[in-house]
Amino acid sequence: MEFPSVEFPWLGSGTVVAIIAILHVVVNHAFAIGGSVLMVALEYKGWKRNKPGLDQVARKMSKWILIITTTVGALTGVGIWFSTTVIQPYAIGSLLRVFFWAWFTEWIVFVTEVSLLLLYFYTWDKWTGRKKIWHIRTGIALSVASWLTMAIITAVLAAMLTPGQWIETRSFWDAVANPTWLPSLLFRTFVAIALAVALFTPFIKKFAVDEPVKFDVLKDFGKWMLVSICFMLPFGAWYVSNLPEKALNLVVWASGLQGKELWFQVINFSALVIMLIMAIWLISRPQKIPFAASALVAFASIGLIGEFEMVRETIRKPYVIYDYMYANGIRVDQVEQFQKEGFLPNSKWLGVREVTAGNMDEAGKALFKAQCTACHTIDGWRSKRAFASRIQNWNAEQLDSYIKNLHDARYFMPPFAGTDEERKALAEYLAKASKGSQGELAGEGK
Amino acid sequence: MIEVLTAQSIPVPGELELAIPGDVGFFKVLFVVSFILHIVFVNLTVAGGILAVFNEWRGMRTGKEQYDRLARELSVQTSTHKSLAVVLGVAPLLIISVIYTRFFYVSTILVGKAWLMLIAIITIAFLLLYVYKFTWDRWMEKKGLHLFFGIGGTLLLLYVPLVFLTNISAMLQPELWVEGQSIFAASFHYPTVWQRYLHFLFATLAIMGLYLVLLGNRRSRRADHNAEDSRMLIDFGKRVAFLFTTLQVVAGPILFFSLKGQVRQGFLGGSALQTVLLSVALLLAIGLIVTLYLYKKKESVSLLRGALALLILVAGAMGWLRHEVRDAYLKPYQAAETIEPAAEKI
Repeated sequence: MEFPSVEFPWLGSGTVVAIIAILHVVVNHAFAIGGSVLMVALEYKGWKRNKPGLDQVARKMSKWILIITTTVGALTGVGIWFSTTVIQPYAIGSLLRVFFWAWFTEWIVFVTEVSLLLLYFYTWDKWTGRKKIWHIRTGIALSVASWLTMAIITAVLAAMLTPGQWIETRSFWDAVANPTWLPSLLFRTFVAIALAVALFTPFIKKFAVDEPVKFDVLKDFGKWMLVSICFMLPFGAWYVSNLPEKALNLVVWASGLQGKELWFQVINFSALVIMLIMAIWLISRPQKIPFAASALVAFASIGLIGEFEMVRETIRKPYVIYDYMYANGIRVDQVEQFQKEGFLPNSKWLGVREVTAGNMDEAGKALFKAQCTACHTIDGWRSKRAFASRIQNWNAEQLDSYIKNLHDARYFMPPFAGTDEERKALAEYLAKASKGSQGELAGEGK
Repeated sequence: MIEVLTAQSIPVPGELELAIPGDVGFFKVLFVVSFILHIVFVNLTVAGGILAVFNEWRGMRTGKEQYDRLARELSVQTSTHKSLAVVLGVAPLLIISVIYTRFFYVSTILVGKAWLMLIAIITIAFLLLYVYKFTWDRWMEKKGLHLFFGIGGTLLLLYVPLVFLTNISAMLQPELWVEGQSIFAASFHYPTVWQRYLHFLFATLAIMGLYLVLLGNRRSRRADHNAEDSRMLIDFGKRVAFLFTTLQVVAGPILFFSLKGQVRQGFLGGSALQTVLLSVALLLAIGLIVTLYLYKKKESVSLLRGALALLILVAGAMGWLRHEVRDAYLKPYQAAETIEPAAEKI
């Protein structure tokens, strides 16, 4: 392999990307996309029906949308890119080449979006009276631009899971118009609005002073949420129906509720019911919703979207780009070569070029670093992925024969890409390391 | 045999399987242009922070409210510029990632943890600067605390270029690549980092100076303007612009002579294009210094226009120059495509 790597021994590489990515999705969906829509809708209504109170709320929202999206939102967006360059260079490097022009267009849309946001925010006082309509139009343009940024980047995200025809044709347009792009984009559009309602409601509840205005806003929010739920469901179903079968079978497992299918159903169904109740409650009795309930729904929504992204990432296993590249950056078509010629002689940065009787540990560790750490750790907070808790009772021979058939026994695991000697070295290292660290942990506990 | 050893001891990656999706020459043009756009807004952001806290502090020390108003103006400007600086960076980052994957990815991973920390550091810097901007009136009686937020945000901003410069210096010198360095160790390990930093810092302030002059001129034409304040923007701006443009006479050569001999040679006659380019850039820069000096002595619209035109040309020439420097550094590695270790057996 070609690049050096950085280790995150406890957190795990995947978690680093996940933290940044989930934060980004929450901020981007709730503030940039859903939030903009809610904000401009309020401003428009305030103007049309001559309710300056609504205008004030929209204005306040714009300040927070500006602050949050240009700090946490923008930086975590770039952050996904920064972190994948460090952690998944092969995958992001390939995606940038496949989607170069989409990404370049994204640059233009980003600059437009930010310019519109700045224009919108700084012209509240200037564009009043007859010019007000231009302020509203700027807001609408801003909402469209924000949505477009998602439309473009969703193509990349969807293609990682369902590259479709691209696998054969390698054509840009096949990659963009992949099977889950449109359904996931439409699904996310309404998720974004629902999430915005969930996150803005507690703040409106707490900080909007004028009661009639407050209830007016909350009522509208409820309507937005209800409509969003109605659209979310069919688009979500369409999305799911376009997933690869293998990926679909991993959903419950990926949610961490394997063997508890009933719980999985109950939790998802309850989430839906709670959202519905919230929407109807907001519409019918906005004055009666307790702040605590709205805050709870806000947190639960963040949890739900986070879980959705984690599941989406996990069901893609063993691939990072489906049918093209495994999660550890090894391409599907490279495996045979590495099994024949060896992985270490083909690796430039591991410091070990071959397995000898004297360097088993060193070679095994190098292989672990290159082929396992994209998802696994020795010790780590995710016990399912930490070897110290997974394989501490296994010996080297057992591990060796297990790794040999790993991808058959567990189809979400990539095949080991190396020679028999290399596999033995890895098994030896894992057997030692998983016990070694467990021993240390036990020692520390005393 | 020697070649094989070289390839082994310097682990330059091979190309990715997927081809670069377009003409590399065209991408390089896009790269230089989009980078200049990005860096100008970075300059305005960083300098805005520095000059805002400087003027607020001056205002606190002298008790002159005018300094405080200038500082406030700067804090608002910075807040806008920083948002554009970030999004404008997407194109150059995209292109450098695609056309220099083999070098840029390695150097990025080598400074990987510092690179990742930038996300948190820039976010915090921006949030601090928002506090700074939005509490200007509310914290009039708490000037110390207010200034603290400004200084905090600005110091964090000043750290950011160090990581970027270390990264792009490291990508040029595969022969120096080592794993496991801290960012500070790496910034001294690669020979041009701090020289680039100094050059960047002066450019930042110089560009901001001229920007303030232009802003002051625009303000003075507005009906509701405060004559005293727009006068101050112009006076302060032209002094800053002249001072830091002139200081580049020192910073430029320091950077130039820190370049690898072989690369430097290209600009000193080795390559006709590079030599002409450097000479033109230097002439333009001198022209800019003279124009700024004349403008400082006696303001006129034509001098200001001239200065702006020259600044744009200098920025263009410098942007192109640094690209030539990059390609000169990478030439030996790109010409002899490194040998895949597997090929040794053949």
